[in-house]
Amino acid sequence: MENDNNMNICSCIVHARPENGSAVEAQLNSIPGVEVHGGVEEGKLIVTVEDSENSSAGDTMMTFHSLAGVVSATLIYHYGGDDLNEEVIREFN
Amino acid sequence: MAKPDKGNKGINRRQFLTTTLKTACSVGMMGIGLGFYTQRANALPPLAIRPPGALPEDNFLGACIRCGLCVRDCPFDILFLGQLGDDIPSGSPYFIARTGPCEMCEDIPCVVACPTNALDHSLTDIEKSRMGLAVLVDQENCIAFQGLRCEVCFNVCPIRGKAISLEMQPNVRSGKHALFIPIVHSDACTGCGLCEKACILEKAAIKVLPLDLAKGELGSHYRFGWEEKQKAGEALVTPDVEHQYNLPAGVRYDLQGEGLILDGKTDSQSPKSPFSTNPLDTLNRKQEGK
Amino acid sequence: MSLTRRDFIKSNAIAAAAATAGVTLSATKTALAGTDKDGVRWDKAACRYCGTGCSVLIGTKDGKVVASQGDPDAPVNKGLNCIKGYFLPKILYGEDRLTKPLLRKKNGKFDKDGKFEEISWDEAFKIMAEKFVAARKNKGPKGIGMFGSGQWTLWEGYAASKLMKAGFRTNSLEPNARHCMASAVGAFMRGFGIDEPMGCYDDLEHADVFVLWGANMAEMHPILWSRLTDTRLTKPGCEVHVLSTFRHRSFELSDNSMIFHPQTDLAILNYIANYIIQTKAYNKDFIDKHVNFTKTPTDIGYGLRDNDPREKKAKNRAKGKLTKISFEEYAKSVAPYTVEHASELSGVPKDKLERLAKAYADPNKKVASYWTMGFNQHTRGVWVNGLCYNVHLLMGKISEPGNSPFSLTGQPSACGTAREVGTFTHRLPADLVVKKEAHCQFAEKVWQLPEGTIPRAKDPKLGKTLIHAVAMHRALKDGKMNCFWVMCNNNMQAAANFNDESYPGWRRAENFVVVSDPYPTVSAQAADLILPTAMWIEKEGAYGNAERRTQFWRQQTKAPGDSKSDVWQLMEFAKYIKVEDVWDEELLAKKPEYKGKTLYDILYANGVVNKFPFDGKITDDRGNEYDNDESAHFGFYVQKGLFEEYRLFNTVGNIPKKGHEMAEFEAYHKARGIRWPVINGKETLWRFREGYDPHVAKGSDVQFYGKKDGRANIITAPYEPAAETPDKEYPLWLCTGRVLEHWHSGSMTRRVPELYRAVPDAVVYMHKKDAKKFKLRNGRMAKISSRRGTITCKVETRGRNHPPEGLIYIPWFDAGRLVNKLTLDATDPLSKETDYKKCAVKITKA
Repeated sequence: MENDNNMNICSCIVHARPENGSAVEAQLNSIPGVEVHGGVEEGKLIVTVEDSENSSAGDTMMTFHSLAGVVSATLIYHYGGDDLNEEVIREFN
Repeated sequence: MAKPDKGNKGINRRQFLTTTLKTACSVGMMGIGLGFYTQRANALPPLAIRPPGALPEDNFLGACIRCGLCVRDCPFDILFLGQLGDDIPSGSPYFIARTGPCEMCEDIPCVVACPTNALDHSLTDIEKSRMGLAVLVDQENCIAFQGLRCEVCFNVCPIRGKAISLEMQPNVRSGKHALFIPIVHSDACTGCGLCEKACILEKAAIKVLPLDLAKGELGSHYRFGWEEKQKAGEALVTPDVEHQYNLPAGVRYDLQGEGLILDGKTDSQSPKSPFSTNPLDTLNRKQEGK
Repeated sequence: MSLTRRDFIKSNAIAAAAATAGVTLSATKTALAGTDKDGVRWDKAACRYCGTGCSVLIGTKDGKVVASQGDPDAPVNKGLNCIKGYFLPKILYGEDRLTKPLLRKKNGKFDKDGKFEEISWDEAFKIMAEKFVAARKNKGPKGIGMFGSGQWTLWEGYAASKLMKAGFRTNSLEPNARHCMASAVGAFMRGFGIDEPMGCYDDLEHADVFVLWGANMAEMHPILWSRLTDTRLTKPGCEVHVLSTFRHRSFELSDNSMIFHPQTDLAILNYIANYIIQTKAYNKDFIDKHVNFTKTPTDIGYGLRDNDPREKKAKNRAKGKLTKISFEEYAKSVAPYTVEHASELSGVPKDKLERLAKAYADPNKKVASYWTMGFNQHTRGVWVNGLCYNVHLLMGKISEPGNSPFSLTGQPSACGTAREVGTFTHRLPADLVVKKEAHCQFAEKVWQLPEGTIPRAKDPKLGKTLIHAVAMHRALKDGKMNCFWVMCNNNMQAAANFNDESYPGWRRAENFVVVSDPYPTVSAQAADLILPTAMWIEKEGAYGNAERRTQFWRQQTKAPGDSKSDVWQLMEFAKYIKVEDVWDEELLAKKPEYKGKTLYDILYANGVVNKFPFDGKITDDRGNEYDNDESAHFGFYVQKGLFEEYRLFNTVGNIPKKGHEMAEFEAYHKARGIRWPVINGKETLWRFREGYDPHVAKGSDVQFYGKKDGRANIITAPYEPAAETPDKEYPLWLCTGRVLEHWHSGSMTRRVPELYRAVPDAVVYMHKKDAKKFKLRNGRMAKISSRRGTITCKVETRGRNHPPEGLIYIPWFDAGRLVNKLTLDATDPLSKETDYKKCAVKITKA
């Protein structure tokens, strides 16, 4: 049951030395589909990764370790399924 | 209510995971994350609940022949079978409380239908089933804990009062309202999930969890004294002889109750006497009495 | 709250990662809605639902309501809400909002059997004008009717009262409060000569004993119940007595639980009065000074149609004139109600009745009695309200903190609108009544109308002009009334006896029924013309709650599509009616300058209502700006003008009746409600008590100034049976009512998905033994029939309500199973309010 609208959303923790946090943040934010949501000061960056035009979320994540200042990257949460951008959440969680 | 589209999502997820895993291994990175990741994404989801009377999970999977008769006989169509690619062993029955909880039929047709006793036929009283345990997991977002008048979980509970009760407490913040706190009692909760379904939050604050996940366990050495006393119907050690105290006049001492009681100083709320403070009230009434 | 699944998943993903990392993110990152806190405008509004009158704060952004919260500074609710209030913004955004006027048409023309088609407002008002004018001409004042609401804002009710009574010159105006509060009103008028409770919600903190008479406050007045519960938990010696015909949520707090047989509340109250007299506990000083003893005619029938055998049998049909009696005569009249007799009639054990009586009779205990529909929807509703006052008056336990007989209301403005601005057939604004010539003349003076404009109750030319809600439905069925405009309520679902009375009346060929509603309700479905309506905070509004608290709000958001508020509809429609169409020449000759004018010119562009200019925006004290669509349309500050004219009824010279003073318009936008009477800017908490109420003459201690001699009436009335009681064929009592999660007919709350999920459909609550007896099973469908109709619903033998054997309870919110197909349109002959709590049914497997 392949679906063209397949969508992946992941979140991960990217570890960096606290002093490198903002440098890593800048690099991450420059990658399409990647967003940093916090944890910069602590050196534990909360990052979401979504599929972008050129790269699946999984592939994108693989590039994290090669960024300067990244100690490790840990996948925490993954959602894969239909891209239901229009669907307004009402009934389920 | 639409059935959850488990099949589709499972396959997609699996495909995604496969490709991701390959990449991960080849690069040999993210080692720490991998263990966590596989565990997290592949564990039997705690949201999937077995039908009433299901044997402990290992025994159940051994006994269940994936015939689907329980699903067929469920009058409310809440049961599903795990499908290939699901996180649930394929062919085994389950329900999701949030979308389709167990309606607790008195005759338990799913159990009756089971040909192998994977759903234990000795279960004949649905109120004795233990599919899981409802837990109010999020007290910060549960609006009843904030004093809003919700109590939907309590109201929909089929054995309300026993499985879920309300504890009333003063609302210190507002100073003049009360809190109606839902309390789940594990000795009565069947884990049917009607409360989880009905929870009005965007994500349910009360969830049915597998029993072993939901329950704490008291240190094996310790007993709650008041419960043991109640069970025994008497004090386990002979009660004291009557105490005598040195007390000034007008003062009593209640050993098991209030402690020191100053008779002279009654609470301002409770009347000092059956008479009004205004003597005219009493006088007028006495006149009428004649 | 627009939120895609993607947003949702993403926020979950972020939350999971943050939790694992132990990193705290700002709330906005993980919050599901209102991701951008900036730019949200907050303002206050009164809750849309019940008569409690909680205040909420509404957060608006880009013209849409994006957030809400309980108002922490509101004295009623202190930031709390019930489950319905939690979802308030969602009632605006149901997916099936009506946005265009809809008319039944065939081949481009109105046809009673046509299908609904979109039309313009102009077309809608033209056909309405044609139909209403014709019916008014052909059938007289009772040929047209309007059925309004205690959910109308204050000025909507006022504008409607003016349009009907002064414009169309008809008293065929009723609010749905007739189904709800009419009995309470009747008892206030008979007992005290002035409407609405003497006490206020502060009694909830000051009473020592609470008695619930048939009211299930736990579900129906959730926030007040929360206050009552707090007092019970924290005040030493506080006790709660709960009386009902079935066990419900309020029994969970009860110290003395009493299940009585339907209708026997009359006997229980008389027993308490008898106990007080027998034990000489009564407050002689108080009754000597402040009370008159009276009796009311008995055997008064059941408000059914004339040809009903029960009406033919009644000796004093619908009679209510009071006769003065002595204390001794009164004592004699209650003497038969011994504890044995009351216990036998009611089924309540003697010790429980005695405990209740003692609580009332204890001079050192402050007692607050609460009631709602159990008393009001009662074929002896006025009587039973009065019997409760009797007990309080005998003890002098009234009009002071904690001592309070208190009639709760079910609608947000049952008091403020339905009652205070005169939307009943027999009423005029500010407690004035049509029956009194002086009152009519005073209203005509305030309204700048020629004498005789308002039809008198027994008008020399127009005949008897008063017609109550149930009679309106009967008149529609009989073809005596041909035009009917229903606003702001769902009367097809709400009125009793759907099959025999309501539905055939609305669908009768020559009748034209207009329904103004935001949603396609059962009423809209049965209408001929539907007008899409702006609701709640889509307009500037005001409600008056049960404790006389008047609360205002500003327009927060625009209504969708072509929806217009009720006040806009009433005033705009008035432009389509020429005065010559509805006034006779003789009347017009008294005011020739009105010739050629429209009702709009005479009623609203009269120099008073249109006195206050509007500069395009309403601005609050913090500089926030708000729309006001009505004012923008009509070119003056509509709401202020209507309110200030209404206020004249208690501020101009020679007012016929004092006691209803309101503060100035602007004061209400600066406060979370003010309790009237407002004298010199000060609000009144307890009425009729010196020190608390400035209307009470110095040195008189207590003065019931609604009555000329300042004395309240104790009115003796006996127990009389219900209109229909269970028999062999229909062996069960049916009681109808509400649930916490849905409000009234559910037209709003059933469109909130979470509330719908919490309580999707009405069920029939019944005793396990009855279920077994009638071969029913919990969770399966059952067929319930009365002499008037049949519905099916799911059997519930568990859950929140536990009826005794012989009684079933069905909530009425469910448009899918109309319980009013079963109910009987028997009314209290005095208040004309329907008894929805008692009829006979049978139940079988579906």
